Amino acid sequence: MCACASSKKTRPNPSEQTTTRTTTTTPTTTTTTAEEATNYTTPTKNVLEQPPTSPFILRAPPSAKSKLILQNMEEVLNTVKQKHREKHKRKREEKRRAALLAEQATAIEATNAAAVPAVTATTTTTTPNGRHVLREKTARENGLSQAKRKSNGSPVKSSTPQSSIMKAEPAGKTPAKATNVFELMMNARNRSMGTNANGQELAEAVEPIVTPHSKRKQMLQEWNDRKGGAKRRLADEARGDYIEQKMEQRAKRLKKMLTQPNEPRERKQSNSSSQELPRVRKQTSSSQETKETISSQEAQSDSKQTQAQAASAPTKRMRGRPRTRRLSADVETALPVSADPDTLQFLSKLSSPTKKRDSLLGYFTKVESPQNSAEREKGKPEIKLIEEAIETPKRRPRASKTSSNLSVNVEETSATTTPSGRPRRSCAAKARYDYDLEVSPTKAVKPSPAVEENDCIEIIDLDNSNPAVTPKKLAPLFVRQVPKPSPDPTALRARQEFLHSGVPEKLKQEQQRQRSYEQYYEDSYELFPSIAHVGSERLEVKQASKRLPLRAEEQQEEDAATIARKPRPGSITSCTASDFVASRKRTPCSWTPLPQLDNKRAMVKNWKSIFDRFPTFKCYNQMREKYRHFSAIDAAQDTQPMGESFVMTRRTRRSIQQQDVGKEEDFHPPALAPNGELLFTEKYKPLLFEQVLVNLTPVQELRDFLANWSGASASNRNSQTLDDSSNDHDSSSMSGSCNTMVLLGPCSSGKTNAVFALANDMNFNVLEINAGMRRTGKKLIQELQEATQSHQIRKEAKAGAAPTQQLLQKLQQNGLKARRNQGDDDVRKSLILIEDADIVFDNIDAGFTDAIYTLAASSKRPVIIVASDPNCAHLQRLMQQNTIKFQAPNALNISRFLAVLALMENCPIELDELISLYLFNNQNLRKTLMELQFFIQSGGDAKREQVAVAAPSGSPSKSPRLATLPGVQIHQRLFEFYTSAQNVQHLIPFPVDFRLLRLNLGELLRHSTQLQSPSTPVARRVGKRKSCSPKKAWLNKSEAQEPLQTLASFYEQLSTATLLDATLEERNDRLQPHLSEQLAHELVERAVGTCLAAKNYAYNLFDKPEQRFNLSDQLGSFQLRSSCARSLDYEPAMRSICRSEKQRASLERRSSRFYHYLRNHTNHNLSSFSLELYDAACQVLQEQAPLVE
Amino acid sequence: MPEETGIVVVDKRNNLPWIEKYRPVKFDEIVGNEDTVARLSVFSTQGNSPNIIIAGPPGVGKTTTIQCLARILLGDSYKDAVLELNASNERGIDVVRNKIKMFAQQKVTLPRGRHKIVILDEADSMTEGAQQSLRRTMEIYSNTTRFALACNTSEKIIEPIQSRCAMLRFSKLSDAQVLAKLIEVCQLEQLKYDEDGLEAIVFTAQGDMRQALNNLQSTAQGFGEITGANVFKVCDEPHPMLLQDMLQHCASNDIHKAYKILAKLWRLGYAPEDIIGNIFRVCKRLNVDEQLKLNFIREIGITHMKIVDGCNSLLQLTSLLARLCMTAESH
Repeated sequence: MCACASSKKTRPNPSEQTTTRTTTTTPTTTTTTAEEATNYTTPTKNVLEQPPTSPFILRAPPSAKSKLILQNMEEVLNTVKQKHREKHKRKREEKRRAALLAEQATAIEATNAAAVPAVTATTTTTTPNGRHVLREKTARENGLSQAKRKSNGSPVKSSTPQSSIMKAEPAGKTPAKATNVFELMMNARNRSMGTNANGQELAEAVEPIVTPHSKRKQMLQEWNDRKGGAKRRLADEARGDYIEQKMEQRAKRLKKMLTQPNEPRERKQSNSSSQELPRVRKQTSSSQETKETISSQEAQSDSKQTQAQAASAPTKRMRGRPRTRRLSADVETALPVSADPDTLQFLSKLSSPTKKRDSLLGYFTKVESPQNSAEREKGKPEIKLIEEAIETPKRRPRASKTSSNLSVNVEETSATTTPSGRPRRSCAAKARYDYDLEVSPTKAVKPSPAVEENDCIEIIDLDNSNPAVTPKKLAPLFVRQVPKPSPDPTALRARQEFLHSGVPEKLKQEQQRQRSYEQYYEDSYELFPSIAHVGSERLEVKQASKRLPLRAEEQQEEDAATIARKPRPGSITSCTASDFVASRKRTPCSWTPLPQLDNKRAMVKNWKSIFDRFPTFKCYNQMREKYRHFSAIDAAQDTQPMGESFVMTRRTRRSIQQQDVGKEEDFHPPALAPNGELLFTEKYKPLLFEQVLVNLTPVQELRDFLANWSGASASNRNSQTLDDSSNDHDSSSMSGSCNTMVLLGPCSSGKTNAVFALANDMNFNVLEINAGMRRTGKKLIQELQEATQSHQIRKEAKAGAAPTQQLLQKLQQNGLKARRNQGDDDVRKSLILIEDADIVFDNIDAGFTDAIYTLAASSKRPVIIVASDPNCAHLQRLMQQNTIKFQAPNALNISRFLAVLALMENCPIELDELISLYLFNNQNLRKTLMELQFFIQSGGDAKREQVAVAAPSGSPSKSPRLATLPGVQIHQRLFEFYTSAQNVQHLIPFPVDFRLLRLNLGELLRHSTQLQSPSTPVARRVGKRKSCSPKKAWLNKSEAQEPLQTLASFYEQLSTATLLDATLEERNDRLQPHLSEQLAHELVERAVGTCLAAKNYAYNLFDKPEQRFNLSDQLGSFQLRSSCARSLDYEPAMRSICRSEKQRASLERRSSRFYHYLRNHTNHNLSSFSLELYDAACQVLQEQAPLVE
Repeated sequence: MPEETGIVVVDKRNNLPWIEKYRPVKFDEIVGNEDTVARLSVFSTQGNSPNIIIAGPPGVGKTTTIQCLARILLGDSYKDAVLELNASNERGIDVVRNKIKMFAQQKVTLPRGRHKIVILDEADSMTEGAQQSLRRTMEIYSNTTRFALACNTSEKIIEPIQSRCAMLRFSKLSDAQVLAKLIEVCQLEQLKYDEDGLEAIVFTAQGDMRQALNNLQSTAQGFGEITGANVFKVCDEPHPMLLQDMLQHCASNDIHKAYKILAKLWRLGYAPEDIIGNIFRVCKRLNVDEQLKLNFIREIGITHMKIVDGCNSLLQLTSLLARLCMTAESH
């Protein structure tokens, strides 16, 4: 095989050129053809078998006499093959079986594509070494796919095979070929596509030739792999003579063979490849027994040769010196032969790699380090070759060439060896070997079909028979590469060195330099270099030059401006750096606990007179007890001593109070945790029915409801033996509808607390289900099974109950004990409390609603359902049965309650503040309590020196101020803190609520100093304001500014602001500040500030008058196409709908149709949509139409 | 901020962004919103803080405040007793029902008056379902666990949750506050700065401390020196000085000069949205008659509306100038 390389060596880069030939001729197809070639011919056989031959290759140049070589070469090859076959006979047999199967399969396929049969043939005969059957199959499949591709492929593709065809058939059609190339190609194609038989033949003939190129490469590669150390060389030399003899013999035989080329071919074709295989094996097994066998061997050797030749063939032919090439090829092949007989041991040694390759494992190992091996091997052959060249001076030029070429080849092959799976690396001459790389992987992987070799044989025969003709037949495509002059040895050597060197020195140096530079750079520069970027400066310069005329001017201006402004910095911001020092001295926040108020009682007495109809003392006493209790708890960390006192009824308490009027100093909050541990909401929540101070009616209703359930037990409370019968009777008499109760009411109206207080009071055990639990219907039913089916739940069931905090539980129990003095705790009945029933997460809480209904239907215990949405669809049925509606507590009452509470916490707060805050929080008591706690426990009015500058003086309707005793300071910044003045001084809270603003405009205007002259009395109406004409101090043309004008401008600003705000409405995302919002706010604020010059007053923008409804607000503005449509059409229509629906709802049961209808048309806030709202709207529309715009 | 802590901080974390490096760890380092922060600092020492929601624009220290509170309140047991979930954590219904609840049920020994804290950062990004399932949990475990929520807008928090918390509103920092902090940082970082540069940063930050610090760092590392020119190289905005000149020209009814500036800005490639935004900001501080300024702002607002509607051509801005001149004339 080296021979081919060497033969080519006459030319500069034989292998390269061959490859380049293919590439150049049909650039698109090269890869495919190469792949095909590998698929069909080369594969494992070559890969596996060649290795042994490789060692001898090295010797080839010296030993071979060029003329003899030709014939001997084939023989040599044969012998090599024989050995291998013997070795791998078993495997082959296996393969044969597989091949048979494959053949059958492929036979079917053969009809489809012409190329296919060839493939099958290859597969059947393939790989004497025997990969696994599987392998072959895959190979075959690959081949199939390839073949199909080929057949499908464009004519260009097919051209390459045909070119090979031309080579293949030189013997027959030598003269005609040159002209008939195209015809041939087309014929071949047609045949391959059309008739099976012909196509087969052709394909067989064609493909082998395609392959040799790749085959050769592989062989070379293999040699490289095999090429051992000096031992081998010695052995080779010893065998030299023998080889020569052999070669001569074989040359003769070969010639014989050539004379009868048809025989083998026919044989092959007639015998399906599978059939031939055994024969081959036989031959190989009995290496050189009979002539026939010899001939067959020769045939095989021929095949080998063909491979080699085919690789070299094109170039040689083009060259027109087939003979030499031949010889060289023969030499190469011959060499291995010499080795064969003698070095069986050696081979066995060597065969380790082959073995490896045979097994999958070996294959992989080879895969792992192909490059290493390649590199390893690179060096040796060349040296040897060179040495040899020196030895034989005659052949020297050639030898040197060959050596160089060889080296090149070796390089190539090493490069190409990289199998497909592995990432390819070729550092040195990357560009050059690109195509090789592309081709190689498949080569290495694919098994070599034996049949193709046979085919090859035929072709070669042809070739051999009239070698001289072949060159002429070359298609013009291939001719191109020919005219390269053979480079002189020095150049070759240089090149060789270059190829060897791997990464060139220059590159290395450069890399190193770069690395060092980078390191230096990293060392010397920070991540963000502190030096200005050069590029940017340059850019700047460019820019400057580009817009010179304007730039200069502006630059001047700018400079002038900045210079001029420097004395007064802060023109673009509101501060200057000089403020810095002042702002730095911030007084450290000091916190001193609020002083204990000694005279709470006196104050409460005072308040009592003010708070008519409010149980001030009761409230006070309760709270006092709680306060004492909890502070005592906090102090002593013990519940016991004070535990029971606070639960006492008012009467007993009163008597006690009279006793210890003077000793209120008893309870001081502990020093450790001055704020206690509880939230106000927990601390001051009612634990008994009697402690419920506000919202009494619904709680009473609830108590009545529960009393039915505990009524029986209440009557015979003492008797432990609650007869179930009576209870059952009770419940049955009460009818099923009575076991559930829906508590409806807005947030924090005390629904849950009422339940707990009553449960505590009436000795129920509460089983709570809330939205924080997983509450699928199944789980719900499971958990409450016991509760629903039995009347009592023992203590262990408590664990399942709502895990309220232990302290309070203890308290509750204590309270119960105090109240009842009976140890009936363990007989407590259960009560099922379902919280947040209107919230159902469809995907998570599957079946929750159904479970509720099941519970309601089946439960023997009271089920209390808490919901805040009155229109909750899935609860409608329950709601219609039993509903208790809770209302948010009355502001007046609650403010008193809060006032007492605040007093208890040593922080008396003005009622106004409390009311305002409460209203500001949408009558949300809990939130108010929270904020109160935050306010009080963080020190009330933090800065006491600032005593209520901005007291809410404006609102005349407020309740009278609380009477204070001297020395007691009333905290007044609560409301301010939570609304307008928290952290920022805005006249109007930042996102302007224009609806509220509109409602409160009157108030705003009333506070305007601009609209009322200080002298004239307050003008309430706009019309009146027109009359009075105040002067504006700040205006130059004050006389021109009438109030009307101010008002007009004010409204103008407002309208613009509203417009601005309206543009914002679509975008609901408020994560980033919107400019228009800011603009709107700024406008309004400034308008209020400058136009109206309003005093800084706590205008009550926040209490929304609930009686005023704006239907359009409820229905979403997007539906109103225009204001005109709204006023003319929309609202009247709505009004009538409301009216009729209301009537209908009163008559019919199904009142929700309207709701559903309208709900589809409202886009916002579905949960708060309510029929009631529409009812109210209806009323408003009917009665107070003028109020609505 | 005491110097020594600053130095320690510098030593410890050299490569952090300044926004992290100078993130306050004590309450008295927190800039702005003094009233609320002072109250929270009281709770950090006294304990028993109620549930809180802190709402405010970005970069004003909401998260920082909450973390300070938790750290000071809980001290060493911070790790055990704080559950912090922000928008990057999953906070669906399941998490609330399981993770948060489990955390609330955990027993952590804390001194009296101290509670475990669940920090829900960016709470407005929680789904409504998650919030709903949180509501009763907040109540039931209130004796052991308190919640601290931070959000940009309180409207996204459902009412039941709001009703269980004290609502604290943070506002944008004042320019002076931002400036003070900037100077502090500059001194700690030993930067060269001038008044112009700091002012420019303050202007670009618009009360957002985070942005201010980021801009400061960018400028410092990009150019080394904090000057006005450098700052505006980093934060490329229509230069407020130019805009100020422009508005002054408008106020003095000199449309030619004003237009020249505008045209230049336009040629520099600024988006009309940027230009109008900066015009507004500059106009707020413009040194002209209040009434005139008000009218200016109105005109700016109208133009902004048009720009938002898509009429963002130079023509619109030019017409703004014309109208401004007109108002100035009629004034």
